[in-house]
Amino acid sequence: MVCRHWIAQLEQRHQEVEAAGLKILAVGIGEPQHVQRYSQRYAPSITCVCGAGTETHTRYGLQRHTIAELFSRPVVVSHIRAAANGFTPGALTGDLKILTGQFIVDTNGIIRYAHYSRYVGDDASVSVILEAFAKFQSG
Amino acid sequence: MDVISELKIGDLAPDAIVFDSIGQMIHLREMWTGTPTLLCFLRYFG
Repeated sequence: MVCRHWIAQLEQRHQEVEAAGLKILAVGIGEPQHVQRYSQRYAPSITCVCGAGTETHTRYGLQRHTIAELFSRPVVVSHIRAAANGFTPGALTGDLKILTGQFIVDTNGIIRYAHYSRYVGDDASVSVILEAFAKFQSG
Repeated sequence: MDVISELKIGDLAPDAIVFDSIGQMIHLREMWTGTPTLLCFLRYFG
């Protein structure tokens, strides 16, 4: 549900992100029908794709946390915040332990920004991402 | 946490095969041809 909360925030600001010159691509874990259901409901303006397993996430160096970390204070706070905004858990299609991340990739395929979540809900804000992209563009 | 090498600014973004909502196969590298891309990794589609 934390992922839903974050992608919904991105959906709200997608025009701002695209106006800055960035295409948005969300990569999750699951099957195409999960992508269709999820994107229609939470991110209709964002291109969503999936891998069947965690291989793509692993290639990008995304970590898996422990079960104990799922119950750590910042993770519980993230879940409470998401629930307070109306986002409740759905059926799991992926890996509950995998952590998320955000990357800006330029047209040559070079990473220009990388954020690795250290716990569930530790995602970069859209504002931080846009600042990083503006900094990259200004050289 | 597992020890996995994290990517850094300046690294080449790895390619991977993913699937869209109708099951069409896509190479990630095709996505940033022409336009810089914000790549967002989610935990799952639930």
